[in-house]
Amino acid sequence: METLQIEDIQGILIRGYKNLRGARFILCQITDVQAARQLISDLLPVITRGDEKAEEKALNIAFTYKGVQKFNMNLSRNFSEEFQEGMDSVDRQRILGDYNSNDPKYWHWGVRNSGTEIDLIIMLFAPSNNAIDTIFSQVYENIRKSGVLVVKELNSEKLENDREHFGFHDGVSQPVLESMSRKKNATDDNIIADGEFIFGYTNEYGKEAISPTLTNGFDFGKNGSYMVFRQIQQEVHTFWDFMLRHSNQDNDAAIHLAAKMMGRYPSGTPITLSPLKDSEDPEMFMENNFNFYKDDKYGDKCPIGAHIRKANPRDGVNDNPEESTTVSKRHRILRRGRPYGPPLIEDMNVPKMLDAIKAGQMPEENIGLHFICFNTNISRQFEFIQQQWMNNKKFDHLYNDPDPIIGVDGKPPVNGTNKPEPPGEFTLQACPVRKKLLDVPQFTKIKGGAYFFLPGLDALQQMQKS
Amino acid sequence: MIKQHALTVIARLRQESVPGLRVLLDMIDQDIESNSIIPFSRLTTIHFARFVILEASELDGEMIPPQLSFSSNFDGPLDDHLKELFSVAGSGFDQVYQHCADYNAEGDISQKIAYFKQHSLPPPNAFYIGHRGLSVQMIQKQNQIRNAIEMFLNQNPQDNYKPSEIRQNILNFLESAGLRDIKPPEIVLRTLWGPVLILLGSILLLGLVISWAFVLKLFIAIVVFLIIWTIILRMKEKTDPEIQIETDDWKKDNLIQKIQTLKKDEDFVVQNQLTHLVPIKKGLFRLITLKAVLWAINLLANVFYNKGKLGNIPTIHFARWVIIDNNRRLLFFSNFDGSWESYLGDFIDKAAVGLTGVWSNSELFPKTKFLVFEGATDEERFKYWTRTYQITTQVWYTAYKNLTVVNVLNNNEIHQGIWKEKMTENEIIDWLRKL
Ligand code: HEM
Repeated sequence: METLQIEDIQGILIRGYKNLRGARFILCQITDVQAARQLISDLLPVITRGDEKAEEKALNIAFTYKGVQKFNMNLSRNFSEEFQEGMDSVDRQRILGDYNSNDPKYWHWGVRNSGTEIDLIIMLFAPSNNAIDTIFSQVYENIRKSGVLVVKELNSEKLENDREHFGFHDGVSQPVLESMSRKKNATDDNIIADGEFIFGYTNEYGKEAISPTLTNGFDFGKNGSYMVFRQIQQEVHTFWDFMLRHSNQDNDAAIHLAAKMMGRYPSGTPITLSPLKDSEDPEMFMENNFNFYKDDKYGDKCPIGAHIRKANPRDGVNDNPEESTTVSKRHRILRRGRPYGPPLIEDMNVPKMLDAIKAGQMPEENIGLHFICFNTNISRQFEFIQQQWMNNKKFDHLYNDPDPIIGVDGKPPVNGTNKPEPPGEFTLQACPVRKKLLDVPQFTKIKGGAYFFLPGLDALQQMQKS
Repeated sequence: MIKQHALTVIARLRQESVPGLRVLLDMIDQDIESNSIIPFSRLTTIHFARFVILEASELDGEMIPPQLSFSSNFDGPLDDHLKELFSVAGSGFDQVYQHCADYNAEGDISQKIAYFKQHSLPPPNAFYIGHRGLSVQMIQKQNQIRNAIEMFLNQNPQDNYKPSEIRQNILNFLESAGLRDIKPPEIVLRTLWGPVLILLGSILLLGLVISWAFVLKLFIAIVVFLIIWTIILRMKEKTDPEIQIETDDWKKDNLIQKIQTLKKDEDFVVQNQLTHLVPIKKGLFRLITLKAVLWAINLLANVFYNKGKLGNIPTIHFARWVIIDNNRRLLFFSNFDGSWESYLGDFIDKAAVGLTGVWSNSELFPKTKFLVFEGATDEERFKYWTRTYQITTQVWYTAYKNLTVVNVLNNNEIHQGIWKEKMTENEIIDWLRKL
């Protein structure tokens, strides 16, 4: 089996820094390359590596294609097409379905020709967001000296019990890297080849992902990864108001309906394992050892169109569990997202959230998820999931169901005319006959984003020297 | 049972008229359904159709002139199809074919039909149909029926009924909506038994008429032939060049530009299309091998892969391979559900062996073993190779742009179920699951 060169890999690929509840993402433009090289060399000693535990703080950095270009690296083999084009390009817009309210022209950052394009992201993690200024005062000093332009700083503080803003347990299901699978108890279906997430290792096809290479033969991709960043605003009021309206304002029924759409209860319990009501067993809140085909083939428990079933169909599509598992394993991502903005209810107790909503309390507008994921082939992994599973209304044998959480129709304008976003449908498969919700509004909106490359430490050395 | 066919018409273009034709085809494509030149939605026999300009190109030091390809997947007899094309959109076809070297726009309908027939290729070397026995009209009718039932269920929750009662409610509703009198098609699919019996029959005949010793000799001869064939194949596989991910800037930029024009046309509706043109490797060995593989795929598509999946790919409506230009190039047309990325992924995950068997006989295909192994499973290289030989489709029409193959087949099952005389409780439950 391969061993990871863990000391050359940036730490965020290896661990999610769960104990570091505060985070800040500094989005920068490079104005002077020489000074930026100096910045990298200043940061190199403090960049968190994969072999560090990172109990008190962590720092990692990544670059967009525009950013890498500024260093004039002599590449004999370039980065992938989608990375070069960038998330806000017309081609990627078409694939991701970013039209109407998700259109890059409304984004807060990451948009070309608007002064908000990003070259470099510096990611800081600390026990709390407040502590960041003190812990990283030297880093701020280095940034100031280097003259890079800070376009935006995105802040994040974890919510209680690892919840996201709708109130659901997030970050439960993750692929387990093959070379680390001995440490964790993982099932074969969830052990994924390292090369799917880190350049320089074998992927799910038994090949190494095609990696950017320098003219001197240096494998620039090695131990690095592509990092997808999407700032996603969550409409918490719209979400729970919808559930309540379709449940006669009954809290339990509303939560059950929302769990159907998510595929897990707020606690994290997979609905396919506990279809009628949530489990009391805390082990279930982290449970990830389950499949769909054997006991939930038709979606009577976890609907075919539920978020987790569309995001990772496991063995459940095309009536062929073995093949379905193989296919699912070729479209996985390593998620490292963090919430932003103040929660509706501090302790994230969902029934209390519903009572607050019923009492007319409005959540802050600007709250959501800094969605972050890693993969070595953006078009086959992240983009495929977004386009072919989330946005695809025809997923498996459905007719008209986009993902209720993050899916849109997302069809490009025809002859210059935008197609307005139709309301989504959601089918609740059931025996004897299905139920359907016909007017599912959009619960999330994209507010910014970019494709980054997270280099290995040797590659950073090359950039600093270049 | 209605039969679907594939028409491929390839006519030589005058070099100087190519730019003008491009403009004209673009106008058609802008408003594919109801443009005034060829309003495709009025052509009731067409499932899918496309115009493709095969650009002038050099092959083995010889220039191949530009050609125009028109292809369709149509219902029923060829003559009816051609008659419809020229009676509904005759002047449009005139406008298009005026750009071809030998077309006479002044002629009457029968002359034009003769022109099309004269330039049409024999049936494809391999032809796959995702939903056999369903005409365009039937596919659209069945979708109407399904939509009506869904609407009925949305407006009339069935919470308090048993399965058999729900079914009865649906039937009553269809009766009142006037949708109960459309009969579903009878679809009879061929099975593997036919070819197997023919094979066994021939062996028996040879044995009885000539002698069993002869059959044995023949068998040994075939085995020897296959061994020699395999040795030659392996030698070729070791030395045949495979595509390299381009590092030469000039070529790279050209390819990126082409890919960008290809992508502009993708993902507008539920389906996408692919047109792919690649030179066949030189020499009789590869040509004969290719023809044999396509023959086998065509046979299997008829008798085995005839229930909605090719290999295990459930998203192809129609696909065809045709060998053109005097056995020198292989042309592939496909109409499929979902994105290019997912289609290519399906190729690799669900049908790599068959597809590698075909394309390993064409230029620069990723390295293979024993004809069918590896090749396509070299994921990134295979995708790169496919884009390299993919060409632009100037005009593409689909008659049911909101339906996947899975949807079409499911609608048919719903329709068949409506007409079933007796259903057990379990059959009814299965039927209701399709809604
Ligand atoms: C604000 C937006 C989003 C919210 C609130 C959200 C919420 C959740 C929740 C609650 C889970 C279940 C818990 C877990 O397994 O971690 C989950 C799982 C998941 N989500 Fe999301 N998500 C969002 C956006 C996305 C996006 C944009 C993608 C990718 C395109 C995505 C991909 C996934 C994947 C792959 C899983 C794991 C599925 C599994 O393996 O079972 N999510 N999400």
